[in-house]
Amino acid sequence: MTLANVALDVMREALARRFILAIFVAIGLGLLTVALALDLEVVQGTLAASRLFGQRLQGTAIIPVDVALRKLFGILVYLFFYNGVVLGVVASSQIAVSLLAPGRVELLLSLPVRRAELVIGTYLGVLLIALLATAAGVGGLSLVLFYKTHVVTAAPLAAAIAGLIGFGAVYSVMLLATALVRSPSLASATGLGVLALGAAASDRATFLSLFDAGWVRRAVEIAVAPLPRFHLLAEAGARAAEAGQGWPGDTLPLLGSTLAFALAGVAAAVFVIGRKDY
Amino acid sequence: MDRSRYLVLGLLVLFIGAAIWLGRCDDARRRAALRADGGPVGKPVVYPRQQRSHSRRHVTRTPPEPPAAGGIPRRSSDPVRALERAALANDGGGAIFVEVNAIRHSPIVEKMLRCRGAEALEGMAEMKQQLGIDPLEDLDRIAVSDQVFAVSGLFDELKLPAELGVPNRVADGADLFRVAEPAGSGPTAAEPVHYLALVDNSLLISGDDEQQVRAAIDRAQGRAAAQPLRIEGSEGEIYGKVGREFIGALFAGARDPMAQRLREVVQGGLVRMTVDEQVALSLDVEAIDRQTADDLARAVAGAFAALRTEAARSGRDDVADLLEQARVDPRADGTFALDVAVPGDMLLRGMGCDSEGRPLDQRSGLPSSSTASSSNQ
Repeated sequence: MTLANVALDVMREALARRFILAIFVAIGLGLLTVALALDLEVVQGTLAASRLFGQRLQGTAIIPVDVALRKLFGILVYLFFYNGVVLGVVASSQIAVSLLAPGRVELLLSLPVRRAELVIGTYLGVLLIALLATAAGVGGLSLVLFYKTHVVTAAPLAAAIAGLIGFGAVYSVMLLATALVRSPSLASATGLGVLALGAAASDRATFLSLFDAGWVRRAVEIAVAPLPRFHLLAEAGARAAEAGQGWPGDTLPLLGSTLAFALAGVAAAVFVIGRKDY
Repeated sequence: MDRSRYLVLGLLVLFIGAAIWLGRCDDARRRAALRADGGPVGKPVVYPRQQRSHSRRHVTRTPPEPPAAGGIPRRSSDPVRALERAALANDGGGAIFVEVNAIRHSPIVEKMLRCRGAEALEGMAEMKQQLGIDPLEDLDRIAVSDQVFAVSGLFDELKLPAELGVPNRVADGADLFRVAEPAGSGPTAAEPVHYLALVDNSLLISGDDEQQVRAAIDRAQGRAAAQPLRIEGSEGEIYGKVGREFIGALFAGARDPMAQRLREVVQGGLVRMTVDEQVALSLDVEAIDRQTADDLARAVAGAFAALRTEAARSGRDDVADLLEQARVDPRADGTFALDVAVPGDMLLRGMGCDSEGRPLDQRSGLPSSSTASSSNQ
């Protein structure tokens, strides 16, 4: 119950800062732009023409509408994943800093809220905001595409799953950084750094081949070993969206690895906050 | 540190360990997936129009060139071009060419022969005994136009039926037979209705009109001009250009409203087909106007979309994948391009064979036990 209260407090904090409102206005404007700019001409189950801002998106070839949309969904998953995580990192960097502000953290701990509940509740609250924003974006896009093409698909859900799991892993490290040093800039930089490093090191063999064989490569290998393979996560989401048959079952180790990293980040933040002298 | 801190520390180590282990499991899975053969699903089809060149599998035996008589070679120096010239009249009707020998030695037909070879070879042996030539090896190419039907190959040993009678030598190396239909079956009783010519022992030409067959002989031997066939890119194993006359002749007896409509609106086209592990077709269709071309293209694309949906629904992923790559591209000049492929496995299954060319057991759908044991030996 205390966890839920802390998570709701995070929501209230975000609302008070008009943070959620700004995100939803941005999502709404984006959807409106797509709805007005994208012109899809569907004839007998095929996409005869598609235009964005009046320019043809495809050649003159007539292709089945679901095939065309699958390609579109694949691109959208990558856009959603990277843009969504970066937007989330920038927008959420202040939240944990506010909750852990001198005076406020002491007040929360005296309610009484345990330190682990404070950290986990904050984490869940931020994830809840991310979930609402993702649902609004993906749901709205699905409606726009349904209006344009009359095709119903659960494919955008893949973007939501990939984005949320990815953001969860990144935000756990941001929470740890905030627990160590109460700075929104440092939290943002840490989050973006982990995202960039995780994405770049997704293909471990290729990434490690960039370093000289020897102790340097070994050290880098150990350092990046627990990092989530963010690009593979986005790729799995794109594959799921393109296939339109749900999340691929063979990527469960990838999902498990990312979730375990997120839990490790939260556990580390709990450990650090537990040793703080409030 | 109290117990809860040890617990958190333990969880932290556990989660990091899990993240590393699961990540490595995923790496191993991806490496295994990369090593594994993905099969036909997902492989991009290269259509004839996308191929710059195509190496044909010509394996026809080439006989020694006979001595020239009277300055004119008895055998055409280039039987490939002789067939093209014979079929391509100057009226723009066009012709379709089939590389019989190349198709015979294509991977898919090799598998078919391996699977159903006994049945096929039985008929071929009988034909060889009667005609003196091996249809599987001695036939090279076939050409079909609205005027003549022509076959090129190695016909030195060809035994023509005695019913053909004595030929009329119409040119050096060219014999023309008049084929009389049985009394009562032709326009008038015993009237010759068909002509067959053997040219330079390497080309057979047949047709219903004597003048057209004679003209084809003249073109084949270089005495008359032929319309050159120009095709950009790869020709493939079946190729050619067809004109309105050819299409009219093709659908002449058709009563189907769709066929009649096609006869009305299609003016011509270019056909290219390759036969490898799969059969891929590139078609350029010329309609009577741009609107008709657009309508036809949309109808064909809609049919492909419906077929692909049905294939995906029934679990035939290879068919769905190839139909997904099918393309219909209407152009501004009243033509549209069509690319489509049929998976070789589907053709083999239709003949009761598996993808390796082994007969399937009709009841279980698995390779029959006798074939499996013989292949193991």
